[in-house]
Amino acid sequence: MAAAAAEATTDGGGKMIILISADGKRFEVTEAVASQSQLISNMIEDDCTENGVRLPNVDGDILTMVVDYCNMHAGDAAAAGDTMKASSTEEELKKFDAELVQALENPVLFKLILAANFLNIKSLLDMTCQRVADMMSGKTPEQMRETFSIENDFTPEEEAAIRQENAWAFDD
Amino acid sequence: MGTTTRARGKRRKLQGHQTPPPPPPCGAAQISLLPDDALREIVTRLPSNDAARTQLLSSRWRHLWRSAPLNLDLRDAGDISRVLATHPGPARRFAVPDLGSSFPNRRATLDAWFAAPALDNLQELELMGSYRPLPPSAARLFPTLRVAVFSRCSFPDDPAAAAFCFPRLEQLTLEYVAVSEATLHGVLAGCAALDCLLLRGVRGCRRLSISSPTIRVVGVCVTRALKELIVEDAPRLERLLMPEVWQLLRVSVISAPKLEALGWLSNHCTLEIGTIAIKCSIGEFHFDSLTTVARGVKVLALDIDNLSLDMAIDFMRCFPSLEKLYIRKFSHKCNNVWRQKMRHKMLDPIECLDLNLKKVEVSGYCGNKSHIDFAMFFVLNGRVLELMRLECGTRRNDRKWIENQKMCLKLDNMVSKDAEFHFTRRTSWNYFTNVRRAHELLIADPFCT
Repeated sequence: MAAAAAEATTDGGGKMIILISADGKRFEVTEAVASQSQLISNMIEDDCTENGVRLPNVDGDILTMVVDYCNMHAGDAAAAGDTMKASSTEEELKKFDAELVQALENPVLFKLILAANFLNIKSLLDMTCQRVADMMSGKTPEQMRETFSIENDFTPEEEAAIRQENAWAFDD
Repeated sequence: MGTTTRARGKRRKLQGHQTPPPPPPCGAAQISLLPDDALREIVTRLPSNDAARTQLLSSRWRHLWRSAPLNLDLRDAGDISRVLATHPGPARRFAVPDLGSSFPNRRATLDAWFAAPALDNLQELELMGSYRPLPPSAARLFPTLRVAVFSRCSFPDDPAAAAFCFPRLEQLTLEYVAVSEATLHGVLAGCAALDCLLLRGVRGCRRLSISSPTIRVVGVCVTRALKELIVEDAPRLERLLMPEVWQLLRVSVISAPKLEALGWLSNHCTLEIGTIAIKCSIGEFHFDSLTTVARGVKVLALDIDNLSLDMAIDFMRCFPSLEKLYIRKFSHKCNNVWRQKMRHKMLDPIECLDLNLKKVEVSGYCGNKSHIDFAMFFVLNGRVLELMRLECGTRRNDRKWIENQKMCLKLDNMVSKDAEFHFTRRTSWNYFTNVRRAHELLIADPFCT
């Protein structure tokens, strides 16, 4: 059944691919949409997608966001010859992206980074990592640890050594 | 384990492209559950000092900074020499603001920095300051650069400067740089992957001719010495941007079949696209040819003092596919009484208004008779209009004035029923005042406020 669905084509003639999340949710997307993931794009080239693509470390909620993101951005490349169409949606896209990353709670943001990293979707990885960088910048190491629940496992001596070695970064 | 035999062939095929996923960390609530690769992506996006400080977070983070591509900005890192000595490279970005002439051994110091292995494989260079000429070791960085911003320095006046070769450069910004015509053309010829070229206040070059199979955006502003811009052959050029042109500039577009966004056309520009010649100068404006049209252009921005509705109609006929029209510095004097005089012009349908024009934005709207007539023309004739914005400054808060304007503009009779109509405050124009955001011109609407 999955195979039959995976062979289905859209009205536009693009081949469809089934993505299966860790918790078994299925998402049907076009090859063009899925190809924004370098991982899946390579699988398509190798012809390994006919039984659906299992993504054992991406759960359904996150995959929903990733698929939304890819659907929104699929126009980019496809509409290269039709910039006007693209540029009218570009404003929407920018808004969509900004709202997407701003709204995320930390745990979801990290899961999204994990998924973008695993699926190798560069633009999504750029955007989500930039969001974390923005949250870190301007903070002292103590504040960074607190924000992201990072446990300090250095001895005071080790910490002093690192500070000394990188004194330029710690003079304020 | 044994059950996977059947699929093994396929698995092996895949392994060339991916490392098998780690067990599902579905409950990831902490940053530390991200793989090192992802953490490096974060570290390399931090300002220099903050990035180095992440070494102190935990033993897991200790080595990430060193193995993440260096992002070094002199504005937020104190002792550059120490950083360059500590980091093994490669580097993603190196930004040097103007060190000032009081900086000891300025040129020699910079030369030593550029030579550091930490800057190997540098992707982005921002160099500001009056270095004449550039320190010699700068050239070793050029082959890997994707983004380069040179500000206030000067390029050696040597057309044969083969060292100025940027085979991977995608974005080049020259701001108040002194460069001869021959050198600039030599540099451009060496940019095999150029996507976006921005020139702001460039000196020493009167004529710029562009031939590039890859370029998509050309921007010139504060033209100063530049008098002539010729787009010879740019098969991928989409945007030709000319904000802040205050001196006479002759623009000729010989071949740019994909050109879609054009502006600002000002009183100081003459423009030739194919066989169309448009001359706008103070007190004078004409099209030399209205028999041919430029179908590709979809976004047009006009900054013409004495723009009248008559001219706007000529522009729409000349660019029948126009979807967005931006008008700036709307003069108070222009005569736009259209109902009597324009009727003969309206006998021929205007394709642009009937089929394509979706957005009109006018800044400097004061609501006098001629402005009302101008705007009303679009209200009553823009059949496919989706959005009209009139920037009217603080009047936006004057409810009575707004109600009166809405009545005068006959908004109730708007032909495009679903169109949005807004009065807005004075907006700052989003042209490239900040050259470091040049890449945004590639994605956003270049004239949108």
